[in-house]
Amino acid sequence: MAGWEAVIGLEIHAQLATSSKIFSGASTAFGAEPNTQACTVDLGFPGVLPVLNTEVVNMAVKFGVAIGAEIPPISVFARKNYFYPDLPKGYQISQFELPIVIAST
Amino acid sequence: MVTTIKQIQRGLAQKKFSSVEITQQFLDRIDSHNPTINCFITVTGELALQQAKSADLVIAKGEARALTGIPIAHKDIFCTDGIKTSCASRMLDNFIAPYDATIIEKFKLDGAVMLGKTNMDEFAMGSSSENSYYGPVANPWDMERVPGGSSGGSAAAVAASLAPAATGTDTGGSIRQPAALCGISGIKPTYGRVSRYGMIAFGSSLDQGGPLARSAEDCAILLQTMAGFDPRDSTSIDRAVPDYSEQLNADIKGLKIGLPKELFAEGLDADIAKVIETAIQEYRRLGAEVVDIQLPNSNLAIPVYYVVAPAECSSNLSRFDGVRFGHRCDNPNDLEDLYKRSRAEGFGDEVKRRIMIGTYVLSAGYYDAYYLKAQQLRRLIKQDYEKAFEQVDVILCPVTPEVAFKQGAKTDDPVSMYLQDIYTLSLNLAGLPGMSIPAGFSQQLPVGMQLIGNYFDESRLLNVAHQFQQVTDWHLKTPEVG
Repeated sequence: MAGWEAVIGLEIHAQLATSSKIFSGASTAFGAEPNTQACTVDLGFPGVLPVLNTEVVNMAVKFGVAIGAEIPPISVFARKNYFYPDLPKGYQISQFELPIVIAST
Repeated sequence: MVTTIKQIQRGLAQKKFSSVEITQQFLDRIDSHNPTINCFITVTGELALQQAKSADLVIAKGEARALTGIPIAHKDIFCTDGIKTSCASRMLDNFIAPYDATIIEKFKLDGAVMLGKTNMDEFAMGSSSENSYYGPVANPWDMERVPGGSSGGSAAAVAASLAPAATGTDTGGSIRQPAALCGISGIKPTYGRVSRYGMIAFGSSLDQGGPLARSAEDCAILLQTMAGFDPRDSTSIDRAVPDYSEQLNADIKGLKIGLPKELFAEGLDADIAKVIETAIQEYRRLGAEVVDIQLPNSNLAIPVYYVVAPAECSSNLSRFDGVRFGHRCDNPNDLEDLYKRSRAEGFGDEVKRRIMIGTYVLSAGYYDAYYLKAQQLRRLIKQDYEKAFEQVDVILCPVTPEVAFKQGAKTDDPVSMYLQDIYTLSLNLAGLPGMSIPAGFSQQLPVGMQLIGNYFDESRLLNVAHQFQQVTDWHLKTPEVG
Protein backbone atom coordinates (compact mmCIF):
# COMPACT_ATOMS: atom_id res chain seq x y z
CA MET A 1 0.00 0.00 0.00
CA ALA A 2 3.02 2.25 -0.01
CA GLY A 3 2.34 5.27 -2.20
CA TRP A 4 -1.44 4.75 -2.05
CA GLU A 5 -3.94 6.75 -0.07
CA ALA A 6 -7.17 5.05 1.04
CA VAL A 7 -10.25 7.09 0.11
CA ILE A 8 -13.48 5.49 1.33
CA GLY A 9 -16.93 6.61 0.22
CA LEU A 10 -20.06 5.63 2.07
CA GLU A 11 -23.44 4.93 0.51
CA ILE A 12 -26.02 5.41 3.24
CA HIS A 13 -29.64 4.39 2.81
CA ALA A 14 -32.48 5.90 4.81
CA GLN A 15 -36.14 5.01 4.72
CA LEU A 16 -38.29 8.12 4.68
CA ALA A 17 -41.44 8.21 6.79
CA THR A 18 -43.72 9.13 3.89
CA SER A 19 -47.12 7.49 3.54
CA SER A 20 -46.63 6.78 -0.18
CA LYS A 21 -43.69 5.81 -2.39
CA ILE A 22 -41.21 8.22 -3.97
CA PHE A 23 -42.60 7.96 -7.53
CA SER A 24 -46.11 6.58 -7.07
CA GLY A 25 -49.13 6.91 -4.85
CA ALA A 26 -48.85 3.30 -3.62
CA SER A 27 -48.84 2.88 0.16
CA THR A 28 -45.70 2.17 2.19
CA ALA A 29 -47.55 0.87 5.28
CA PHE A 30 -45.37 -1.47 7.32
CA GLY A 31 -46.55 -5.06 7.68
CA ALA A 32 -49.19 -5.02 4.92
CA GLU A 33 -50.01 -8.22 2.99
CA PRO A 34 -47.55 -9.09 0.19
CA ASN A 35 -48.36 -7.67 -3.27
CA THR A 36 -50.97 -5.25 -1.94
CA GLN A 37 -48.80 -2.14 -2.17
CA ALA A 38 -47.54 -2.30 -5.75
CA CYS A 39 -49.32 -0.33 -8.48
CA THR A 40 -48.89 -0.20 -12.27
CA VAL A 41 -46.33 2.61 -11.88
CA ASP A 42 -44.18 0.55 -9.49
CA LEU A 43 -44.40 -2.46 -11.80
CA GLY A 44 -43.18 -0.38 -14.75
CA PHE A 45 -46.14 -1.20 -16.98
CA PRO A 46 -46.14 0.20 -20.51
CA GLY A 47 -47.32 3.83 -20.59
CA VAL A 48 -47.02 4.64 -16.89
CA LEU A 49 -45.13 7.72 -15.70
CA PRO A 50 -43.51 8.51 -12.36
CA VAL A 51 -44.64 11.49 -10.27
CA LEU A 52 -42.20 12.75 -7.64
CA ASN A 53 -43.54 12.68 -4.07
CA THR A 54 -43.43 16.29 -2.77
CA GLU A 55 -42.94 15.09 0.80
CA VAL A 56 -39.71 13.31 -0.22
CA VAL A 57 -38.31 16.61 -1.49
CA ASN A 58 -39.40 18.40 1.70
CA MET A 59 -37.66 15.82 3.86
CA ALA A 60 -34.47 15.88 1.78
CA VAL A 61 -34.35 19.67 1.95
CA LYS A 62 -34.89 19.61 5.74
CA PHE A 63 -32.06 17.12 6.07
CA GLY A 64 -29.80 19.27 3.89
CA VAL A 65 -30.55 22.40 5.89
CA ALA A 66 -29.99 20.54 9.17
CA ILE A 67 -26.45 19.49 8.16
CA GLY A 68 -25.60 22.87 6.65
CA ALA A 69 -25.48 21.57 3.07
CA GLU A 70 -26.30 23.48 -0.08
CA ILE A 71 -29.78 23.18 -1.63
CA PRO A 72 -29.53 24.02 -5.35
CA PRO A 73 -32.55 25.77 -6.91
CA ILE A 74 -32.61 23.20 -9.73
CA SER A 75 -32.43 19.48 -9.16
CA VAL A 76 -32.15 16.83 -11.87
CA PHE A 77 -33.28 13.21 -11.94
CA ALA A 78 -31.52 10.91 -14.39
CA ARG A 79 -31.95 7.36 -15.59
CA LYS A 80 -29.34 4.76 -14.79
CA ASN A 81 -29.95 2.08 -17.40
CA TYR A 82 -29.19 -1.60 -16.84
CA PHE A 83 -31.05 -4.91 -16.98
CA TYR A 84 -31.83 -6.76 -13.78
CA PRO A 85 -34.84 -8.86 -12.77
CA ASP A 86 -35.69 -6.66 -9.78
CA LEU A 87 -35.63 -3.54 -11.94
CA PRO A 88 -38.99 -3.39 -13.74
CA LYS A 89 -38.29 -0.38 -15.99
CA GLY A 90 -34.75 -1.36 -16.93
CA TYR A 91 -33.43 1.79 -15.29
CA GLN A 92 -33.23 3.38 -11.88
CA ILE A 93 -34.45 6.93 -11.45
CA SER A 94 -31.47 8.43 -9.68
CA GLN A 95 -29.63 11.71 -9.19
CA PHE A 96 -26.17 12.37 -10.54
CA GLU A 97 -25.29 15.93 -11.55
CA LEU A 98 -27.66 18.03 -9.48
CA PRO A 99 -29.12 16.17 -6.49
CA ILE A 100 -31.54 17.84 -4.05
CA VAL A 101 -28.75 18.24 -1.50
CA ILE A 102 -25.16 19.13 -2.40
CA ALA A 103 -22.26 18.93 0.04
CA SER A 104 -21.25 22.34 1.30
CA THR A 105 -17.58 23.20 1.07
CA MET B 1 -72.16 8.04 -45.71
CA VAL B 2 -72.08 10.52 -42.84
CA THR B 3 -68.45 11.08 -42.04
CA THR B 4 -67.77 14.12 -39.88
CA ILE B 5 -68.21 14.32 -36.13
CA LYS B 6 -70.11 17.54 -36.59
CA GLN B 7 -72.61 15.73 -38.85
CA ILE B 8 -72.97 12.81 -36.44
CA GLN B 9 -73.51 15.20 -33.51
CA ARG B 10 -76.28 16.90 -35.48
CA GLY B 11 -77.84 13.61 -36.59
CA LEU B 12 -77.89 12.26 -33.03
CA ALA B 13 -79.31 15.51 -31.63
CA GLN B 14 -82.05 15.59 -34.27
CA LYS B 15 -82.76 11.86 -33.75
CA LYS B 16 -82.11 11.11 -37.43
CA PHE B 17 -80.27 8.00 -36.26
CA SER B 18 -79.19 6.44 -32.99
CA SER B 19 -75.66 5.89 -31.76
CA VAL B 20 -76.23 2.13 -32.13
CA GLU B 21 -77.20 2.62 -35.79
CA ILE B 22 -74.28 4.85 -36.69
CA THR B 23 -71.85 2.64 -34.75
CA GLN B 24 -73.15 -0.45 -36.55
CA GLN B 25 -72.70 1.36 -39.86
CA PHE B 26 -69.01 1.96 -39.12
CA LEU B 27 -68.55 -1.60 -37.81
CA ASP B 28 -70.04 -2.91 -41.08
CA ARG B 29 -67.60 -0.81 -43.09
CA ILE B 30 -64.74 -2.10 -40.93
CA ASP B 31 -65.93 -5.68 -41.63
CA SER B 32 -65.95 -5.07 -45.37
CA HIS B 33 -62.78 -3.05 -45.79
CA ASN B 34 -60.41 -3.82 -42.94
CA PRO B 35 -59.28 -7.11 -44.53
CA THR B 36 -57.77 -5.11 -47.43
CA ILE B 37 -56.75 -1.87 -45.69
CA ASN B 38 -55.55 -3.54 -42.46
CA CYS B 39 -55.98 -0.34 -40.46
CA PHE B 40 -57.34 -2.03 -37.31
CA ILE B 41 -55.40 -4.46 -35.12
CA THR B 42 -58.35 -5.02 -32.79
CA VAL B 43 -62.01 -4.28 -33.47
CA THR B 44 -64.05 -3.90 -30.28
CA GLY B 45 -67.45 -4.37 -31.91
CA GLU B 46 -69.33 -5.77 -28.95
CA LEU B 47 -68.01 -3.13 -26.56
CA ALA B 48 -68.76 -0.40 -29.13
CA LEU B 49 -72.39 -1.49 -29.40
CA GLN B 50 -72.72 -1.64 -25.60
CA GLN B 51 -71.27 1.86 -25.27
CA ALA B 52 -73.53 3.08 -28.09
CA LYS B 53 -76.57 1.62 -26.34
CA SER B 54 -75.73 3.45 -23.09
CA ALA B 55 -75.04 6.59 -25.11
CA ASP B 56 -78.51 6.40 -26.66
CA LEU B 57 -80.04 6.28 -23.15
CA VAL B 58 -77.99 9.31 -22.12
CA ILE B 59 -79.10 11.17 -25.26
CA ALA B 60 -82.74 10.25 -24.62
CA LYS B 61 -82.44 11.75 -21.14
CA GLY B 62 -81.10 14.94 -22.71
CA GLU B 63 -77.78 14.58 -20.92
CA ALA B 64 -75.51 14.21 -23.95
CA ARG B 65 -71.96 15.47 -23.64
CA ALA B 66 -69.69 16.62 -26.49
CA LEU B 67 -68.93 13.15 -27.82
CA THR B 68 -71.83 11.09 -26.47
CA GLY B 69 -72.51 8.31 -28.94
CA ILE B 70 -69.76 9.31 -31.39
CA PRO B 71 -67.70 6.34 -32.56
CA ILE B 72 -63.94 6.82 -32.74
CA ALA B 73 -60.85 4.62 -33.07
CA HIS B 74 -57.72 4.70 -30.93
CA LYS B 75 -54.13 4.15 -31.98
CA ASP B 76 -52.92 0.90 -30.44
CA ILE B 77 -50.31 2.81 -28.44
CA PHE B 78 -52.86 4.02 -25.87
CA CYS B 79 -53.48 1.62 -22.99
CA THR B 80 -57.10 0.47 -22.84
CA ASP B 81 -58.29 -1.33 -19.72
CA GLY B 82 -59.02 -4.99 -20.40
CA ILE B 83 -58.26 -4.67 -24.11
CA LYS B 84 -55.17 -5.77 -26.00
CA THR B 85 -52.69 -2.90 -26.40
CA SER B 86 -49.96 -4.12 -28.74
CA CYS B 87 -48.10 -1.08 -30.09
CA ALA B 88 -48.07 -3.24 -33.25
CA SER B 89 -45.28 -5.31 -31.74
CA ARG B 90 -44.89 -9.03 -31.25
CA MET B 91 -43.49 -7.99 -27.87
CA LEU B 92 -46.96 -6.91 -26.74
CA ASP B 93 -49.08 -9.28 -28.84
CA ASN B 94 -50.30 -10.89 -25.60
CA PHE B 95 -50.55 -7.70 -23.53
CA ILE B 96 -53.95 -6.79 -22.10
CA ALA B 97 -53.55 -3.36 -20.52
CA PRO B 98 -54.72 -3.27 -16.87
CA TYR B 99 -55.65 0.43 -17.00
CA ASP B 100 -56.88 3.23 -19.25
CA ALA B 101 -54.60 5.97 -20.57
CA THR B 102 -55.73 9.41 -19.40
CA ILE B 103 -57.05 10.36 -22.83
CA ILE B 104 -59.00 7.09 -23.06
CA GLU B 105 -60.60 7.93 -19.70
CA LYS B 106 -61.44 11.39 -20.99
CA PHE B 107 -63.07 10.03 -24.15
CA LYS B 108 -65.09 7.62 -22.00
CA LEU B 109 -66.19 10.46 -19.71
CA ASP B 110 -67.29 12.51 -22.71
CA GLY B 111 -69.36 9.58 -23.95
CA ALA B 112 -67.37 8.46 -27.01
CA VAL B 113 -67.81 4.96 -28.40
CA MET B 114 -64.62 2.97 -29.09
CA LEU B 115 -64.57 1.12 -32.42
CA GLY B 116 -61.18 -0.49 -31.92
CA LYS B 117 -57.43 -0.08 -31.91
CA THR B 118 -55.59 1.00 -35.02
CA ASN B 119 -52.51 -0.40 -36.71
CA MET B 120 -49.24 1.55 -36.72
CA ASP B 121 -45.50 1.27 -37.06
CA GLU B 122 -44.14 -0.85 -34.22
CA PHE B 123 -43.73 1.32 -31.10
CA ALA B 124 -44.47 4.31 -33.38
CA MET B 125 -41.11 3.95 -35.13
CA GLY B 126 -41.58 4.49 -38.83
CA SER B 127 -43.11 6.69 -41.51
CA SER B 128 -45.07 4.14 -43.53
CA SER B 129 -46.97 1.82 -41.16
CA GLU B 130 -45.08 -1.06 -42.75
CA ASN B 131 -43.16 -1.82 -39.54
CA SER B 132 -46.08 -3.63 -37.93
CA TYR B 133 -46.17 -7.18 -36.57
CA TYR B 134 -49.71 -7.29 -37.97
CA GLY B 135 -48.69 -6.46 -41.55
CA PRO B 136 -48.63 -3.18 -43.47
CA VAL B 137 -51.54 -0.74 -43.70
CA ALA B 138 -52.73 0.23 -47.19
CA ASN B 139 -53.45 3.77 -48.31
CA PRO B 140 -57.16 3.92 -49.25
CA TRP B 141 -56.33 6.25 -52.16
CA ASP B 142 -54.10 3.59 -53.73
CA MET B 143 -53.92 0.24 -52.02
CA GLU B 144 -50.37 -0.37 -53.27
CA ARG B 145 -49.13 2.70 -51.45
CA VAL B 146 -48.36 3.44 -47.82
CA PRO B 147 -50.65 5.60 -45.66
CA GLY B 148 -47.68 7.19 -43.89
CA GLY B 149 -46.82 6.52 -40.29
CA SER B 150 -46.63 5.89 -37.58
CA SER B 151 -50.35 6.66 -37.06
CA GLY B 152 -51.09 5.16 -40.50
CA GLY B 153 -53.92 2.91 -39.31
CA SER B 154 -55.73 5.86 -37.75
CA ALA B 155 -55.27 8.00 -40.88
CA ALA B 156 -56.33 5.23 -43.26
CA ALA B 157 -59.39 4.39 -41.12
CA VAL B 158 -60.58 8.00 -41.23
CA ALA B 159 -59.77 8.46 -44.93
CA ALA B 160 -61.73 5.31 -45.85
CA SER B 161 -64.60 6.27 -43.51
CA LEU B 162 -64.13 3.22 -41.31
CA ALA B 163 -64.13 5.70 -38.42
CA PRO B 164 -65.15 9.36 -38.36
CA ALA B 165 -62.07 10.20 -36.33
CA ALA B 166 -59.16 8.58 -34.53
CA THR B 167 -56.45 9.34 -32.05
CA GLY B 168 -52.79 9.35 -32.96
CA THR B 169 -49.41 10.22 -31.53
CA ASP B 170 -46.68 12.35 -33.05
CA THR B 171 -43.01 12.02 -32.09
CA GLY B 172 -41.53 13.31 -35.35
CA GLY B 173 -44.52 13.70 -37.67
CA SER B 174 -46.56 10.58 -36.90
CA ILE B 175 -49.91 12.45 -36.92
CA ARG B 176 -49.16 15.06 -39.59
CA GLN B 177 -47.45 12.90 -42.22
CA PRO B 178 -50.12 10.15 -42.37
CA ALA B 179 -52.85 12.83 -42.30
CA ALA B 180 -51.16 14.42 -45.34
CA LEU B 181 -50.70 11.15 -47.24
CA CYS B 182 -54.31 10.10 -46.58
CA GLY B 183 -55.94 13.48 -47.29
CA ILE B 184 -57.32 14.18 -43.80
CA SER B 185 -56.72 16.72 -41.02
CA GLY B 186 -54.57 16.15 -37.96
CA ILE B 187 -53.06 18.24 -35.20
CA LYS B 188 -50.03 17.66 -33.01
CA PRO B 189 -50.54 19.89 -29.99
CA THR B 190 -47.87 21.74 -28.00
CA TYR B 191 -45.71 19.39 -25.92
CA GLY B 192 -47.43 19.12 -22.55
CA ARG B 193 -50.93 20.03 -23.79
CA VAL B 194 -52.19 16.43 -23.92
CA SER B 195 -51.39 13.91 -21.17
CA ARG B 196 -48.90 11.18 -22.04
CA TYR B 197 -50.03 8.94 -19.17
CA GLY B 198 -50.92 5.55 -20.61
CA MET B 199 -49.45 6.33 -24.00
CA ILE B 200 -46.63 3.84 -24.49
CA ALA B 201 -43.47 5.95 -24.48
CA PHE B 202 -41.15 6.21 -27.50
CA GLY B 203 -39.29 9.53 -27.16
CA SER B 204 -40.52 11.04 -23.91
CA SER B 205 -39.38 14.60 -24.67
CA LEU B 206 -40.97 14.49 -28.15
CA ASP B 207 -44.16 12.37 -27.88
CA GLN B 208 -47.52 14.10 -28.03
CA GLY B 209 -51.00 12.70 -28.65
CA GLY B 210 -53.54 14.36 -30.89
CA PRO B 211 -56.57 13.78 -33.11
CA LEU B 212 -56.94 12.81 -36.77
CA ALA B 213 -60.25 13.69 -38.40
CA ARG B 214 -61.91 14.87 -41.57
CA SER B 215 -61.85 18.60 -40.77
CA ALA B 216 -60.25 21.23 -38.54
CA GLU B 217 -63.68 21.68 -36.97
CA ASP B 218 -63.69 18.01 -35.92
CA CYS B 219 -60.09 18.25 -34.67
CA ALA B 220 -61.19 21.13 -32.43
CA ILE B 221 -63.96 19.00 -30.90
CA LEU B 222 -61.60 16.09 -30.25
CA LEU B 223 -58.75 18.21 -28.91
CA GLN B 224 -61.21 19.74 -26.45
CA THR B 225 -61.63 16.30 -24.89
CA MET B 226 -57.94 15.33 -25.06
CA ALA B 227 -56.24 18.52 -23.81
CA GLY B 228 -55.64 19.48 -20.21
CA PHE B 229 -53.41 19.10 -17.19
CA ASP B 230 -52.92 15.62 -15.77
CA PRO B 231 -51.34 15.24 -12.32
CA ARG B 232 -50.16 11.77 -13.43
CA ASP B 233 -47.95 13.29 -16.16
CA SER B 234 -45.35 15.66 -14.71
CA THR B 235 -44.64 17.10 -18.18
CA SER B 236 -48.25 18.08 -18.79
CA ILE B 237 -48.83 21.79 -18.37
CA ASP B 238 -51.22 23.25 -15.82
CA ARG B 239 -52.77 25.87 -18.03
CA ALA B 240 -56.42 26.58 -18.84
CA VAL B 241 -57.76 24.88 -21.99
CA PRO B 242 -59.49 27.41 -24.26
CA ASP B 243 -62.71 26.63 -26.14
CA TYR B 244 -61.16 25.39 -29.38
CA SER B 245 -64.38 25.72 -31.39
CA GLU B 246 -64.97 29.32 -30.34
CA GLN B 247 -62.28 30.90 -32.52
CA LEU B 248 -62.87 28.74 -35.62
CA ASN B 249 -64.86 31.38 -37.46
CA ALA B 250 -62.68 34.34 -36.54
CA ASP B 251 -61.67 36.53 -39.48
CA ILE B 252 -58.05 36.01 -40.58
CA LYS B 253 -57.70 39.39 -42.28
CA GLY B 254 -54.26 40.78 -41.43
CA LEU B 255 -52.99 37.38 -40.22
CA LYS B 256 -49.26 37.17 -40.77
CA ILE B 257 -48.17 33.92 -42.39
CA GLY B 258 -44.46 33.13 -42.57
CA LEU B 259 -42.91 31.04 -45.34
CA PRO B 260 -39.59 29.51 -44.29
CA LYS B 261 -37.51 29.37 -47.46
CA GLU B 262 -35.44 26.51 -46.05
CA LEU B 263 -38.54 24.27 -46.10
CA PHE B 264 -39.27 24.95 -49.75
CA ALA B 265 -35.73 24.20 -50.90
CA GLU B 266 -34.42 21.28 -52.99
CA GLY B 267 -35.90 17.88 -52.31
CA LEU B 268 -39.48 19.16 -52.46
CA ASP B 269 -41.56 17.64 -55.26
CA ALA B 270 -42.47 20.33 -57.83
CA ASP B 271 -46.17 19.37 -57.87
CA ILE B 272 -46.38 19.65 -54.09
CA ALA B 273 -44.72 23.08 -54.25
CA LYS B 274 -47.40 24.10 -56.76
CA VAL B 275 -50.25 22.86 -54.55
CA ILE B 276 -48.84 24.76 -51.58
CA GLU B 277 -48.41 27.90 -53.71
CA THR B 278 -52.09 27.72 -54.69
CA ALA B 279 -53.05 27.37 -51.01
CA ILE B 280 -50.96 30.44 -50.19
CA GLN B 281 -52.91 32.39 -52.85
CA GLU B 282 -56.11 31.27 -51.14
CA TYR B 283 -54.83 32.69 -47.85
CA ARG B 284 -53.93 35.95 -49.59
CA ARG B 285 -57.50 36.16 -50.88
CA LEU B 286 -58.71 35.65 -47.30
CA GLY B 287 -56.75 38.75 -46.33
CA ALA B 288 -53.65 37.18 -44.84
CA GLU B 289 -50.28 38.80 -45.27
CA VAL B 290 -47.54 36.44 -46.43
CA VAL B 291 -43.93 37.14 -45.50
CA ASP B 292 -40.66 35.29 -46.00
CA ILE B 293 -38.93 34.10 -42.87
CA GLN B 294 -35.80 32.13 -42.07
CA LEU B 295 -35.23 29.00 -40.05
CA PRO B 296 -31.47 28.79 -40.61
CA ASN B 297 -30.93 25.70 -38.45
CA SER B 298 -33.56 23.56 -40.22
CA ASN B 299 -30.87 21.34 -41.69
CA LEU B 300 -29.98 20.19 -38.17
CA ALA B 301 -33.40 18.67 -37.48
CA ILE B 302 -32.81 15.19 -38.94
CA PRO B 303 -29.38 14.52 -37.39
CA VAL B 304 -30.47 15.91 -34.02
CA TYR B 305 -33.72 13.95 -34.04
CA TYR B 306 -31.96 10.69 -34.93
CA VAL B 307 -29.78 11.04 -31.84
CA VAL B 308 -32.45 12.23 -29.38
CA ALA B 309 -35.30 9.91 -30.39
CA PRO B 310 -33.28 6.65 -30.46
CA ALA B 311 -31.57 7.62 -27.18
CA GLU B 312 -34.89 8.05 -25.43
CA CYS B 313 -36.43 4.94 -27.00
CA SER B 314 -33.50 2.75 -26.01
CA SER B 315 -34.18 3.63 -22.38
CA ASN B 316 -37.98 3.56 -22.65
CA LEU B 317 -38.00 0.12 -24.24
CA SER B 318 -35.76 -1.46 -21.59
CA ARG B 319 -38.84 -2.54 -19.64
CA PHE B 320 -39.71 -5.03 -22.37
CA ASP B 321 -37.39 -7.72 -21.05
CA GLY B 322 -39.61 -10.81 -20.93
CA VAL B 323 -39.78 -10.81 -17.13
CA ARG B 324 -43.17 -9.37 -16.16
CA PHE B 325 -45.31 -8.88 -19.26
CA GLY B 326 -45.13 -9.21 -23.02
CA HIS B 327 -43.22 -11.76 -25.05
CA ARG B 328 -40.97 -14.26 -23.33
CA CYS B 329 -38.85 -16.76 -25.25
CA ASP B 330 -39.41 -20.49 -24.77
CA ASN B 331 -37.23 -22.40 -22.30
CA PRO B 332 -34.61 -19.78 -21.40
CA ASN B 333 -31.33 -21.30 -20.18
CA ASP B 334 -30.56 -18.47 -17.82
CA LEU B 335 -31.33 -14.79 -17.25
CA GLU B 336 -29.12 -13.47 -20.02
CA ASP B 337 -30.59 -15.93 -22.51
CA LEU B 338 -34.10 -14.84 -21.41
CA TYR B 339 -33.30 -11.17 -22.03
CA LYS B 340 -31.51 -11.73 -25.31
CA ARG B 341 -33.95 -14.09 -26.95
CA SER B 342 -37.12 -12.41 -25.63
CA ARG B 343 -35.99 -9.06 -27.03
CA ALA B 344 -34.53 -10.51 -30.25
CA GLU B 345 -37.81 -12.32 -30.96
CA GLY B 346 -40.15 -9.62 -29.66
CA PHE B 347 -38.83 -6.54 -31.47
CA GLY B 348 -38.79 -5.87 -35.23
CA ASP B 349 -35.81 -4.60 -37.23
CA GLU B 350 -36.48 -0.83 -37.07
CA VAL B 351 -37.03 -0.94 -33.30
CA LYS B 352 -33.78 -2.89 -32.87
CA ARG B 353 -31.93 -0.42 -35.11
CA ARG B 354 -33.05 2.50 -32.95
CA ILE B 355 -32.35 0.73 -29.66
CA MET B 356 -28.80 0.05 -30.86
CA ILE B 357 -28.21 3.64 -32.02
CA GLY B 358 -29.73 4.98 -28.80
CA THR B 359 -27.72 2.71 -26.53
CA TYR B 360 -24.55 3.74 -28.36
CA VAL B 361 -25.14 7.51 -28.12
CA LEU B 362 -25.97 7.25 -24.41
CA SER B 363 -23.05 5.01 -23.51
CA ALA B 364 -20.28 6.26 -21.24
CA GLY B 365 -17.78 8.36 -23.17
CA TYR B 366 -20.18 9.09 -26.05
CA TYR B 367 -22.96 10.86 -24.16
CA ASP B 368 -21.30 14.30 -24.34
CA ALA B 369 -20.41 13.94 -28.01
CA TYR B 370 -23.87 12.84 -29.12
CA TYR B 371 -26.81 13.25 -26.77
CA LEU B 372 -25.57 16.40 -25.03
CA LYS B 373 -24.51 17.97 -28.34
CA ALA B 374 -27.90 17.11 -29.86
CA GLN B 375 -29.68 18.78 -26.93
CA GLN B 376 -27.62 21.94 -27.53
CA LEU B 377 -28.48 21.99 -31.24
CA ARG B 378 -32.09 21.40 -30.30
CA ARG B 379 -32.03 24.73 -28.51
CA LEU B 380 -30.82 26.47 -31.70
CA ILE B 381 -33.76 24.99 -33.62
CA LYS B 382 -36.15 26.22 -30.91
CA GLN B 383 -34.61 29.70 -30.99
CA ASP B 384 -35.12 29.89 -34.77
CA TYR B 385 -38.84 29.40 -34.22
CA GLU B 386 -38.96 31.87 -31.33
CA LYS B 387 -37.43 34.51 -33.58
CA ALA B 388 -39.82 33.67 -36.40
CA PHE B 389 -42.85 34.03 -34.14
CA GLU B 390 -41.75 37.57 -33.24
CA GLN B 391 -42.56 38.39 -36.89
CA VAL B 392 -45.47 36.13 -37.83
CA ASP B 393 -48.60 34.49 -36.38
CA VAL B 394 -48.33 31.14 -38.12
CA ILE B 395 -45.81 29.39 -40.36
CA LEU B 396 -46.90 27.56 -43.50
CA CYS B 397 -44.88 24.85 -45.26
CA PRO B 398 -45.21 21.37 -46.79
CA VAL B 399 -45.75 18.30 -44.61
CA THR B 400 -43.89 15.81 -46.79
CA PRO B 401 -41.41 16.09 -49.67
CA GLU B 402 -43.50 13.72 -51.83
CA VAL B 403 -46.92 12.06 -52.03
CA ALA B 404 -47.63 8.56 -50.68
CA PHE B 405 -44.98 6.16 -51.96
CA LYS B 406 -45.32 2.50 -52.95
CA GLN B 407 -45.18 -0.14 -50.24
CA GLY B 408 -41.69 -1.58 -50.02
CA ALA B 409 -40.11 1.35 -51.87
CA LYS B 410 -38.07 2.59 -48.92
CA THR B 411 -37.93 -0.48 -46.70
CA ASP B 412 -34.27 -1.19 -47.46
CA ASP B 413 -33.17 2.42 -47.17
CA PRO B 414 -33.79 3.80 -43.66
CA VAL B 415 -32.26 7.20 -44.47
CA SER B 416 -34.67 7.85 -47.35
CA MET B 417 -37.49 6.80 -44.99
CA TYR B 418 -36.19 9.22 -42.31
CA LEU B 419 -36.19 12.04 -44.92
CA GLN B 420 -39.99 11.70 -45.12
CA ASP B 421 -40.16 13.63 -41.86
CA ILE B 422 -37.79 16.42 -42.83
CA TYR B 423 -40.50 19.11 -42.53
CA THR B 424 -42.17 17.77 -39.39
CA LEU B 425 -39.38 16.71 -36.99
CA SER B 426 -38.26 20.17 -35.93
CA LEU B 427 -41.63 20.93 -34.29
CA ASN B 428 -41.23 17.97 -31.96
CA LEU B 429 -37.69 19.07 -31.14
CA ALA B 430 -39.02 22.57 -30.35
CA GLY B 431 -42.25 21.33 -28.70
CA LEU B 432 -44.42 23.46 -31.00
CA PRO B 433 -47.96 22.65 -32.23
CA GLY B 434 -48.46 21.78 -35.89
CA MET B 435 -51.33 20.84 -38.10
CA SER B 436 -51.66 19.06 -41.43
CA ILE B 437 -54.65 19.74 -43.65
CA PRO B 438 -55.46 18.62 -47.20
CA ALA B 439 -54.42 21.25 -49.78
CA GLY B 440 -54.88 19.49 -53.12
CA PHE B 441 -53.78 16.53 -55.20
CA SER B 442 -50.79 15.36 -57.20
CA GLN B 443 -50.84 12.15 -59.27
CA GLN B 444 -54.40 11.67 -57.90
CA LEU B 445 -52.95 11.40 -54.40
CA PRO B 446 -53.60 13.83 -51.54
CA VAL B 447 -51.13 16.60 -50.71
CA GLY B 448 -51.00 18.06 -47.22
CA MET B 449 -50.10 21.54 -46.04
CA GLN B 450 -48.52 22.17 -42.66
CA LEU B 451 -49.44 25.04 -40.36
CA ILE B 452 -47.13 25.68 -37.41
CA GLY B 453 -48.23 27.75 -34.44
CA ASN B 454 -46.60 29.35 -31.43
CA TYR B 455 -46.70 27.52 -28.08
CA PHE B 456 -50.29 26.81 -26.94
CA ASP B 457 -51.68 28.58 -30.00
CA GLU B 458 -53.77 25.55 -31.08
CA SER B 459 -56.88 27.76 -31.26
CA ARG B 460 -55.29 29.90 -33.91
CA LEU B 461 -54.04 26.90 -35.91
CA LEU B 462 -57.53 25.41 -35.91
CA ASN B 463 -58.99 28.79 -36.91
CA VAL B 464 -56.52 29.25 -39.78
CA ALA B 465 -57.15 25.68 -40.97
CA HIS B 466 -60.92 26.01 -40.67
CA GLN B 467 -60.97 29.25 -42.66
CA PHE B 468 -59.14 27.46 -45.49
CA GLN B 469 -61.65 24.60 -45.31
CA GLN B 470 -64.52 27.10 -45.58
CA VAL B 471 -63.33 28.18 -49.04
CA THR B 472 -61.94 24.84 -50.32
CA ASP B 473 -63.27 21.28 -50.32
CA TRP B 474 -60.07 19.22 -50.42
CA HIS B 475 -60.86 17.91 -46.93
CA LEU B 476 -64.20 16.53 -48.12
CA LYS B 477 -62.71 14.39 -50.91
CA THR B 478 -62.88 10.70 -50.15
CA PRO B 479 -61.27 7.74 -51.91
CA GLU B 480 -63.36 5.08 -53.68
CA VAL B 481 -62.91 1.99 -51.57
CA GLY B 482 -65.97 0.22 -52.91
